Amino acid sequence: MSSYQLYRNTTLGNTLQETLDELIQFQQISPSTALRVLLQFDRAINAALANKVRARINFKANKLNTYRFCDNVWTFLMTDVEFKEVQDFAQVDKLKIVACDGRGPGPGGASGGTAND
Amino acid sequence: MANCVTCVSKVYHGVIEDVIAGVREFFLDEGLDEQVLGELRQLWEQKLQRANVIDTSEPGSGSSTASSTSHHGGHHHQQQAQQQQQQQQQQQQQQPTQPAQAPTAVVTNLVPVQITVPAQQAGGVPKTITIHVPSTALANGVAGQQLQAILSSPTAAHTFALEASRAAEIIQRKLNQALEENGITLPPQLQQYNHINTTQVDGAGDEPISFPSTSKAPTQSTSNPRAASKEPLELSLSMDNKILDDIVYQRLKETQVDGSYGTGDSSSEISDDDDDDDDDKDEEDDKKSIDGEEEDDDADGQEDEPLNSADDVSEDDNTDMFDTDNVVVCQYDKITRVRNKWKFTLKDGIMNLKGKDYVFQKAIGEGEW
Repeated sequence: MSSYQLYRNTTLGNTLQETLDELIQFQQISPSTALRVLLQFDRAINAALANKVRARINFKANKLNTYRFCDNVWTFLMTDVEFKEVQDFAQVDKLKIVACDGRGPGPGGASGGTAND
Repeated sequence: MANCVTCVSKVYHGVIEDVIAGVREFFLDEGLDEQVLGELRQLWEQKLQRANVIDTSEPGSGSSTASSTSHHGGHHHQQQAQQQQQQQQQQQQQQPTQPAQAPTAVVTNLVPVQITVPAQQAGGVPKTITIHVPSTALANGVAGQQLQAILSSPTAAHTFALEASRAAEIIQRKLNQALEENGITLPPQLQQYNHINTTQVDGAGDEPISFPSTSKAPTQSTSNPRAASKEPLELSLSMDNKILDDIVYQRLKETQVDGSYGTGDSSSEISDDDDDDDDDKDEEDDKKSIDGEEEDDDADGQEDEPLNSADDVSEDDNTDMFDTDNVVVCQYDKITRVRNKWKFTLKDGIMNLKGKDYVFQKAIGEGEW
């Protein structure tokens, strides 16, 4: 029962990892405990996104600069992207999308690449 | 784009609750105190708020659980109420368990803490005050809090003006009192400070030389950033990880050749020899390369460097592009392409756009390559 570790490099995931690192530094937990917490985080965030979120978004990129498909992970780099929700919208100059296969992790789980190459 | 900002906050706090609940059992199995779990949660939520990607006007976890109970109700409410009750019970149990842990801690892991006071007057000298803190107190943050309170009290300024050893005694005594009030048993080495004793005797567990301590810059600010940053007098608080000290000291003792603390000398001797060897090799290499370069230069003039540098296809563009702040982490349902027109169907994503977090269930987009 493994989930994508994809979401570890998000605000929520990074803050958790920083917190765990601090606790390890203070010797309050062991690295293996931290790993278990991260695995639990993976499960929790995957479940939350699947079940608790309802928002739908549309976006349009002016230019797709790069696309990459490796190990079943798509990585896109785009510029000048506009996002639309129901009534709001946002616009960014540069955007990076990292996407794992929506059909679920393959045998052995997946780390979803790194968003910081 | 609001994307139901409260939804994001709700989702995140829901995840935090899930994780904490999920690992609670594991923590207890590992023999870790409920307090550690509480600290994990607190630190995590603090960092999340500091990251400021959630637009919460609610201060901290207490009211956020209250607001989420009003949204969820029922099952979650019961969980959170139980957790709060458990936390209160755990705090009450904390003090009785502390003395129980004290016997094991009396093997005295004392961590020397150095407080560097910048020069009080112009032309003065910064002085270093060293006090000793039990590592258990340090680890669970109690010592840090007490120290912070002591250092920011109005009498602290007067204390710093005194001589270093006197100031150390006073601060040590205050810290001991504070630790005792918090139910932490002091190891015998520290209890001597409660008697007005002018002679300072180092505890058995301390490394008399504080061997790598003064030079260990990396551990300085990382171990207690909060205390240091909130200190109004801008003291620098440095803490040495005693266990790291032990390991380093043991390793150096094994490789020691002569004298009691001659490790510095012997290592420098070895390094000198290495340097000599390296220098010899470098000189030979330099001679060869210079000869080679001279030949190349004679043959091709100065076209070598521009030619070689042009061989690099611009891989740099990708690395620059990858360093974006706007990232979407998600899963894909379908990615299609017709000629150079791409269509994306994505789901279950977290976006960080211009520093703010958004989440989506589904996202549909298109782009032209």
